[in-house]
Amino acid sequence: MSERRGHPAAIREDVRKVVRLEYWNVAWSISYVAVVGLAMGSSQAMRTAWIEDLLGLIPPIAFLIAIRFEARGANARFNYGYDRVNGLGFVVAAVALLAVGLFLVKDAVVALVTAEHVTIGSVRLLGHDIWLGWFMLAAQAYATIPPLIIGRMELPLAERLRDKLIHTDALMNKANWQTPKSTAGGAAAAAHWR
Amino acid sequence: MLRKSAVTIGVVMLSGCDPYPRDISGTTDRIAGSHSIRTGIVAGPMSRPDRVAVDRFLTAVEQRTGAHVIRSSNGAEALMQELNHAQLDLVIGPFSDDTPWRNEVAVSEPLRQDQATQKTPVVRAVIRNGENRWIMTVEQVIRDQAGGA
Repeated sequence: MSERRGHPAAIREDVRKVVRLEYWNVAWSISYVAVVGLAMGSSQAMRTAWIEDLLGLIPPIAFLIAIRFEARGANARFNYGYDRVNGLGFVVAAVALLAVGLFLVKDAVVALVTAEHVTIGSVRLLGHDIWLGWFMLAAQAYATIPPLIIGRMELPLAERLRDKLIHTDALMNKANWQTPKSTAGGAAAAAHWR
Repeated sequence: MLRKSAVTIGVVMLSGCDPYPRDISGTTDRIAGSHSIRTGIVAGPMSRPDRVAVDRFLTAVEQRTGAHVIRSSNGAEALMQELNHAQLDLVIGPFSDDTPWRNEVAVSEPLRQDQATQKTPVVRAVIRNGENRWIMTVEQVIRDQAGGA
């Protein structure tokens, strides 16, 4: 039995919305992974944020792959269709979310225990030397906006569709809209610290 | 044209965000207060062009900060310890771009522009992590020299 068959129009409409949202999610994520990548230089703190942004790409991609499979009907090899691909995608997304959490905890604990001093260098642009911390703040401000909007739009859809994969992605976006704040706070603290 | 002007204005505004960044351990303030830059040179043979580059660099740092350089010499390990214990402000010696010290300290670009892409250890300046204003000052001096070379 395929996912697509027998669903009311409202659910089909929600699925269409969520697929569109996830394509936007992937596009935005790639854009801020690129921006944060450009701004990070050799900063370890930024590298963690960047890895987390990269991991954030996994749930929407897992969903987009899963939804394509789910739409297929049953065949001789898979007598019950491909509905459970969603479950597989959920495992992938959940592992990615767990990895993000572990990264954040490890990073925070190591920084706290070793009383890490963050080095952020500078770059020369149009004849002016600019501290990379300002770029990091700008990149993080930019990286805050897409997850904030997409995450909020996703949550009600995930609840209506009872889709755990979308729900994981919405949670990931929630985590992602909070990390830029902490990274920006870190960069600001590095600027002010004395 | 308009876009280029906007970018230029943005860059000038950013570069004008003085006095940030600051140093976590206040190296820049200490140098300004004591008028001295405690510099450790890694002991070992140094080629004539390297010596010239080091002297040129240190003179430029003196001019930039208005402080004078107090030199000392020792093995790299001992100098790194002194640097991390705030007994030195600067270490100069041969380090590669991916030196294992990179996680412990901030390593500059090569002091000699003709060695910019060299993979083997070349003469670089090393600063304590987190001294972001001081690191920026050293980076500016190296860039100025590369531009003027």
